[in-house]
This record gives sequence, C-alpha cells and structure tokens, in this order.
Amino acid sequence: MRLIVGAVGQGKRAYVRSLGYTEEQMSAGLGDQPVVLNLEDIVAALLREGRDPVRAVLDHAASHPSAVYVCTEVGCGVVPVDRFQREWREAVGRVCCALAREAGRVDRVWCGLAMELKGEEG
Amino acid sequence: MVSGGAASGKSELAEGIAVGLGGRLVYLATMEVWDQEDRRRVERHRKLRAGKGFETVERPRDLAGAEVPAGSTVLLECLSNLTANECFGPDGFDGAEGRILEGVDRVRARTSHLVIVTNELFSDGLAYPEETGRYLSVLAGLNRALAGRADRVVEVVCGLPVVWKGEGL
Repeated sequence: MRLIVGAVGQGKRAYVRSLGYTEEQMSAGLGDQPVVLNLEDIVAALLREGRDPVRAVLDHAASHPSAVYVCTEVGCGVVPVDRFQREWREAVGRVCCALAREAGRVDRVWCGLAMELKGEEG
Repeated sequence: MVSGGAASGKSELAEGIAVGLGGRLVYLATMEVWDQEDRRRVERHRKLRAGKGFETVERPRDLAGAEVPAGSTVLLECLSNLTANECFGPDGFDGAEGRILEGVDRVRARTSHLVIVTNELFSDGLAYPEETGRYLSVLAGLNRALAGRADRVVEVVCGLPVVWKGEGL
C-alpha cells in the first residue's frame, strides 16, 4: 500500500500516472480500483455519514494491500471558524498518519517533484 | 523545533524526541481550555503522553516566568497557542514576539534540552481579518527566529519526519 500526499495542484495525479497507472484505474471512492483519489473528499463524506474515517480507510487498506491512496494536504492553514471544517482537517490528518504507519511507501509531491518520506524498508 | 500542520502527528513525534533525549521530562502546556472541544483535545494529548513519564507545567502566557526544574528536558507545546494567548491576552500584540523569545531563552537556559512544537498555518490563503494576519506574522517571525537558534528542525508530514536542519532522527 502506498500513500501520496501533497497540497492542491502540486502534481500528485501526474506522479501517479508516472508510476504506470492509467486514468481508468483512478477514482475517488473506497472501491476496488487500484488508485483511490481525493481521499480528503472521501473523509468528508465519511464524517457526514457519521462513520469513523480512520477505521473505514484502514479497513479498506487491509482488504486492498496494493492500493495507492492520494490525499490533498489541507492542514497547513489557519484553524477554520467552521466546526465541520475543523473536524474535517483533523480527520484528514489522522487518516494520513494512520495510512502512513501501515504504508510500504509514502511520498509527498511538491511542485511536481516527489519526496520519499518512507521507503519499502521503513 | 518540531512543526507540522493540523493532525500531522507532530505531538507524538516531539514526545518521542523528548523521551529520547532523556532526563527529567517536563511537558510545558500552553493551551487554555475554553470549551468541550478544547477539553477533548487536551484529553487526547494526555492519553498520548500517558506512561511516558512527563510532569506537566501549565503556562498559557508569560513564558519567562515559567518554573521549570533546572536541568530537565522540556517539551513546550505549542508555540502557536502560546503566541495566540500572548497576542490576544492582556499584554497584546505589541512586543509579543520579543516577550516569547525572551521566555524561550530563559527556559532554554534552565533546561538540558528544549523541544518546541509549533504549527504550520501559512499555506492556506492570505485574506484574513487584520488581527489574524498580525498573529500569523508574529508566529512566522517566531518560527524563523527559533529555527535559526535550534540545533535541529523537523517538519512532520503524516507522522513522518522531514529534517530541515541538524541530524536525522
């Protein structure tokens, strides 16, 4: 399982394509496709459904050991006044920490460049 | 100095660094509890620290007056709260940066090790109310000043360290 994070517009999807995945293999949802895009939106939907996002995503990861998760970093701004926005940022962060712990590899994409934060041996 | 965004895993990583440095462990808490959400946050942090051997000293402002045991290893969490408490507290914005830096220097002089947790608040737009913008500017100035003084600066992303200064973890 891999995790790819990065701020909006930094080239995460292009990086996933460079790994050999096609657009058809990517979508935003916890399905059986190889690449799970927009994890931040999935977390928001889970919160709205009253589900625990960390558990839901970790369960999905456990049954999809070769999945690639792509998540937009949303936690590096001023803490929002809106309560749901605060909970969402917090949940996205916790989900990424939990996935990163389990992942064989974690990359952060910035300006189209990928920085390896965790490798296969880590 | 340890920095990172919301829920990036920076607290856990900083605690690990402090525990690794060893000695008498002091958690210098800066957060003031106002509501249920704050209480939950403090509770989460207490659970995270439980069993790691930290004693807690609360100091929401006036860091220079904090009574930390001489020679201890201090984990100050977090600078963004302390800065907000100073800026929006009775002493206000004027001189806030200097007061906090002086406080850090005093604490540092008494301790064996000082680990400071700060926050990445700077990558999400610029159009904020004037006071928020002023606060961001004070915190950013402190982050720069403290990163300059620190032996080691680590950014935390998804719980993983990105080392900006000093040796790796």
